[in-house]
Amino acid sequence: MVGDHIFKALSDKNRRKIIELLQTKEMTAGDIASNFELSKPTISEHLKVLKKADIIYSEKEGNFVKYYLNTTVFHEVVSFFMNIIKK
Amino acid sequence: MKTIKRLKWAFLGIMIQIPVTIWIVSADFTFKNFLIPAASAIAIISMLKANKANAIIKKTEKKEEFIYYVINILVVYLTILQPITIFKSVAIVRICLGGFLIIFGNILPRAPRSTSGFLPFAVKSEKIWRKTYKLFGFLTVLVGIILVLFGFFNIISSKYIVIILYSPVILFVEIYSYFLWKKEKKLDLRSL
Repeated sequence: MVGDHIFKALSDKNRRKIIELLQTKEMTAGDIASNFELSKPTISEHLKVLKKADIIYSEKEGNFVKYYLNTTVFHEVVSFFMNIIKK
Repeated sequence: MKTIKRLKWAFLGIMIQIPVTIWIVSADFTFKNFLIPAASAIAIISMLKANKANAIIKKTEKKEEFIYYVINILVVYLTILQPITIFKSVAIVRICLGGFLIIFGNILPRAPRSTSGFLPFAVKSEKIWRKTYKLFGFLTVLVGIILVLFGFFNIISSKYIVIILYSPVILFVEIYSYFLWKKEKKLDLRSL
């Protein structure tokens, strides 16, 4: 199915938290990792999955790679219902 | 310059489509049966040309990509809408317009910030822009769904249903962005 990777990306609690964090401003991978108790490789793996689903995109700025939100209304609605179901 | 080259074909499609669509809908034109396929063919060819140009230049900015995407949707929808006007069915046109609003509203939160726009307060900061366009996208999708439903169940049979449904949305978004800006200004003053 076309939307499979979107549902997969949004089914994880930590990934939904990353989206919530990026809602306020763009962040580097380090900034995002400092909000979690997970290891940096795990965060990087989460970011990779989100990037594949086109929910975030990254841009290189000097030495840092910054992550920006790239959600659609559909992503927001799915993530909202996932939050309710999987609480 | 590369952007202009890439967008040239797509723009050409719209520039031909819009007047032809208005012309066909408003006047009872005798060459209708010839003109509609011709205009559709031009639109599709121009879109394919634009796609080809897009594939050659791989590195694109997010802003250009978004504009390009919106133009693509417009061309496709205008191409679909033109043959449909033959049937003169209000329901089909409403469902098509509703579908367009759903697709367009869906990608609205992705709109990159520009220096100008019809929302003068949303331009002022990235945070306000994102919040405003998120709401704008949601409301546009909602109006699209309502329009599709009105296509199936003909409750309100007004010609100007899109204007009736959509103008409050734009007004509401405008007011919302103004209040967000006012709130941010207040916080800025406090931090000083």
